[in-house]
Amino acid sequence: MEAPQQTEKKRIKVGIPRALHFYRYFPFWKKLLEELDAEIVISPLTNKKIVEVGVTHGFGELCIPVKIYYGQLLRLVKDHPDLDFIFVPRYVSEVKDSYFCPKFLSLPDVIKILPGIPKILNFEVNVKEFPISTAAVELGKQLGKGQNKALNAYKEAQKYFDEYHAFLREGASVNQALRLVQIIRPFTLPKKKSEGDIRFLLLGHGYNIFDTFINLDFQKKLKDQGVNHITIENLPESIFKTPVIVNPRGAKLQNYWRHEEEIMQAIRYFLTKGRDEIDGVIFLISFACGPDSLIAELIMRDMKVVGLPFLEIIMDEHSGEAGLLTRVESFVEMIRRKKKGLTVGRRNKLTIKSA
Amino acid sequence: MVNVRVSFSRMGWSYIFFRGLFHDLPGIEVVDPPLVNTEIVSDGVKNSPEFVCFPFKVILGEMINLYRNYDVKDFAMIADYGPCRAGMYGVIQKRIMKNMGFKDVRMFYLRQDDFRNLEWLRVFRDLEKRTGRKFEDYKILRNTLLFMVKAYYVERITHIEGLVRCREKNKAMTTKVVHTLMNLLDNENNLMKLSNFDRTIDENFRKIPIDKEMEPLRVCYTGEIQVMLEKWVNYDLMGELGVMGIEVHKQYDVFDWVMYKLDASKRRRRLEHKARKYIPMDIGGEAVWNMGSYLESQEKGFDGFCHIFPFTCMPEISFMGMLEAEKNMDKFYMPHIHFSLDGSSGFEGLRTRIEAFHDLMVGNKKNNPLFRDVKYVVPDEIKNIYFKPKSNFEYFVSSIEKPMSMVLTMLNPSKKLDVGFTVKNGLEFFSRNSFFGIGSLFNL
Repeated sequence: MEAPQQTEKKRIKVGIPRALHFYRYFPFWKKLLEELDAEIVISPLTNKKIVEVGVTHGFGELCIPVKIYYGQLLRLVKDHPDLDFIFVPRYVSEVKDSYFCPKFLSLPDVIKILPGIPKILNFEVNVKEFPISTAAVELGKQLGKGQNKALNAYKEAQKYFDEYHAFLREGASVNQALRLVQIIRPFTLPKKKSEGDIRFLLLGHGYNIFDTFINLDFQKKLKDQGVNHITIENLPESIFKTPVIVNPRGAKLQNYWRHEEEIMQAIRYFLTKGRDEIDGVIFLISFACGPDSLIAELIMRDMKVVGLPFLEIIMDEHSGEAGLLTRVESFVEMIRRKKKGLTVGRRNKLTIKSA
Repeated sequence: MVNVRVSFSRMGWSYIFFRGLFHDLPGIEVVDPPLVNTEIVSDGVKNSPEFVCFPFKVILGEMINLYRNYDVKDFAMIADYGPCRAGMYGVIQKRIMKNMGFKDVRMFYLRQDDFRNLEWLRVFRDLEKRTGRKFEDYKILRNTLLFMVKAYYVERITHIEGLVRCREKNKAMTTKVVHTLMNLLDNENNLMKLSNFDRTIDENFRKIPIDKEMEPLRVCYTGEIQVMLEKWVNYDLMGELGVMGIEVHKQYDVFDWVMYKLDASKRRRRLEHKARKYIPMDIGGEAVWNMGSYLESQEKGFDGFCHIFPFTCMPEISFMGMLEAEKNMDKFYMPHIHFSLDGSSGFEGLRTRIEAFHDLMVGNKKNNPLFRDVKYVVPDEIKNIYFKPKSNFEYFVSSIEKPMSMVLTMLNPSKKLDVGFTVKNGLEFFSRNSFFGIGSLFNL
């Protein structure tokens, strides 16, 4: 039993901006930092003001998620001037032979230029050079904790993260799960609501799909149309085991971006075995996203071969909702019509070789 | 037996040494890629994804043009495991071209993630399969050397070009000399003669009458490699700067890049070391070395930093973000300008910006003590050509010194190397003819 006064004194305050990898790794970070006796502060949901601040500090060609990261970071610093650290992890590669987008690689360096930023808490995930547990030990050092404690924290965090993923695979939405993580509740599935008649796969980076401001609450729009949707987080683990070979007959090249690889694996599943499980695919891309611009091209061409409807939506900091709504509505309408026509006799399915 | 017509992207002068790589192989006919023009680029833009980076579009356009008008169906293209998009180019370009109806397109991937692991030799194996003939091992060895040597001289010529142009008394004389030299280099395939090409370069440049007293402004010219080399894309920015009377120090070329991938480039290591504080790792593109060369040229007292990159290039944007938003004027005081090229902007807008930048540098030189008091140092290349010509012995020493320092740097690696993989690749390749296939190396 520790005395409450002591813990209050000792607890280090760490801020986490609600952007980029937050939507992917937050449960892991939270458990890891809490096991290391840190107090966590999270920035609020993205709003117009945050984006504006981010846009003024970023410059033209940056993609919108990074601009939002700037905004969230500055908001966090403004709201909590007493922060000891700001948690800006550097994700280089999570699995061997893979990378994240170059913007993640240089994130802590780019952040330094913002005004009034407190000390950066570094957490470098680079499996090419050293295992993640080493990174956790380094993190512990910065927080003044010993090696054993850091390793234990890493184990706990990994366990919790696995639980979280298991919960997602049961069919929970990421936003729901993140909320449960944030208020520290056990993972329980909500009651099933009325089912829609068609089912979409919603593709894209976590920070594009689950940030309700950047995509103008896209998930709600789909729900309003009576459409069920799943994201790649809800898919079974087995389909993410074997890597996708981009050109099977040639030099056997792989795609080397981690998240794009997951997207491709999911798509491969739905192009081959899981063809009947969904009615369409929507890919949300933020403007000037490098990896997605190439991957979307490959996916689009594969989709054409199989005949699965595919909608690619590119988002930037504009907030015009009507255009987006029109596109979604017409896409849904098109699929409904197609489905009605197809119930009589399904067209013979084509198989695909390259994915 | 088929005579395979092979081609590649032109990339400025780079076609010279790429042709060296496929020189005199049985059954292979190398087609010179034509100069890039508006038509080619617009073809590429039409068929590319919307916001892919610009080199992708240019290269795709070149390939389409080669396929349609030059009957080329086999292309050599790089492939990578790097963090940036360049590694995926070939695969997607092939896919796009197949969907356009060019069903018999073939790509030969030059794996460039690490040249030391000999994975790139696969190109020759694939070509052997395609032509149905065997390439002698010594020819492959010779071609590799040709590639390296020619790449070295191309880099050297373009580097000297940037230094000389601002000094020339008769306009366009430099351009003429460069063209002559490139022609000579293109037609010379004898390694012994090429080893002495340094002297030819110096002699040719010596013909240009120059202003010897001149102390021009100095600019560090960096950026993403493809846009730096391809003159259609960058509107020959180097030439424009030179005409304005600015001494351009070109930082990178393909040779430098190959050296880096062989882990033999001392210069890149030095730059990396300088930049470590700001960018601790290679994030793709040239971002790390750009930072390094910015800091280095600032130390040397240069007047400006000119950085060009394709629109939406991820690593270069990260670098630009670091530099552009840098408020710490003690460490980053040298003026810098960034050009984001996407092929559609007219040159006049660019010229205005260059002129403004030029005026800024002139003003700095007059008033800013940080630049005013810097002593101008004549570059070594200029000295060697015009002021103190090298003796025969010095030429001999320098021709040996360069490869020696390369080998020495390679023997002291800074990156991890999977030796087993290298040995496996090497043995697999050189034993493809017979069990003791390595023996054929000694038939030289």
